Amino acid sequence: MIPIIMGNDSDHFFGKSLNQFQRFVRQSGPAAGAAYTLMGAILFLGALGFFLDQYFNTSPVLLLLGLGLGIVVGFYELAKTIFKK
Amino acid sequence: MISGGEQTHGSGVIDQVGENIIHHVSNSDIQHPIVHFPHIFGIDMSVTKHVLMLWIVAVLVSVAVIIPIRRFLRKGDGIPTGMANAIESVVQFIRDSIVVPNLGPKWVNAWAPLILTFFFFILFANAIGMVPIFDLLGAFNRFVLGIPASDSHNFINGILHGGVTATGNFNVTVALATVTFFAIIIAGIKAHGFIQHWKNLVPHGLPWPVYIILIPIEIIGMFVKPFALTMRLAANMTGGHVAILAILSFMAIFAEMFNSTVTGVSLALFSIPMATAITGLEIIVVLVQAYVFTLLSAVFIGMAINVHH
Repeated sequence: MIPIIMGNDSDHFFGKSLNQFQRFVRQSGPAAGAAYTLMGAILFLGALGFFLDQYFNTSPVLLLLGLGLGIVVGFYELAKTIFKK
Repeated sequence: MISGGEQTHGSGVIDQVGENIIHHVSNSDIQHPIVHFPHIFGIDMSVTKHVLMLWIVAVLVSVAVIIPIRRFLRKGDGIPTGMANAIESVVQFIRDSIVVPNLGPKWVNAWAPLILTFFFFILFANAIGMVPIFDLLGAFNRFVLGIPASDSHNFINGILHGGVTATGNFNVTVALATVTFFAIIIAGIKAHGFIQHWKNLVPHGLPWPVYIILIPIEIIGMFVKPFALTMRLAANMTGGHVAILAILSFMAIFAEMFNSTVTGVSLALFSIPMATAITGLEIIVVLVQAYVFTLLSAVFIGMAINVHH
């Protein structure tokens, strides 16, 4: 916590706001991590499937597989964050 | 838009806009580098615009962060003043709001330096992308020195190619995320030992068929996390610049569409305030993106240290 000398009401308000902001930041970290991992998994595996499709000429089988696997991995990471003890 | 790029003659403004926008946000062409260096192991080591920007950022971070901190430590009275005072408040915020909650008090001194390095480096690299220093140099070159844009031997024309936001380049963000990737593994190994870290990837005490599914998912998850960091930073930094340039391009596009200069000039009443507003938003984005990369790196490193299944 950033120490704030509480001289008057405005200092008090500023200190409280800053502490509240730090609390939100602490709580938002894991949620942001899970959200970006969900998005990243779908994009990463989807893109991998797309390029492998182009290489093996199997369009759109590997793209769909990649997107499906991306959803599984993304939601698994999301579930890990939500159900964390 | 002042550009050292070649103009495509014989095509309309609409055809040139996309090309011009890409020219302003992407790296300069390796075929026309700013500084020529020889090939090493088959890799062209010549300096492009984004590499130059990385060097400038490295120098700026050193001057703005390392020098005041060294001076503060040399002084030895423990009372920061001036720049050291400003740096201390940022360091304290990152440590108390990001590092301690995610990594735990035991690992603060081990990982706070890396997290802070990420923050300051990305912040400076993002921020320098908002400073139109090369555009001003180009304007000076063109209108004061009278050197045409087509003069490819002129040094200033040479450095006008490409964008200035190095963090908008996927290669830069991949490199930063690779550091995070290895930091996650090293943090886990330091906290739990080599074997236990890899065992911690999956929950304990599950029936063995479940592991056949979970182990590949966890291994993919290991690569997905740095990928999310890579895409998010580069895409956000490029996106804002593309939006500003696209809005400014409306003036030229509409002027050509209606074949009227007045239409183009009148559209400036919309384009310029809008671009200014987005530039204001970009200043917030500069801070937020440095902060989010730092936060996510700390979260991912913390997940390897504080394992909960």
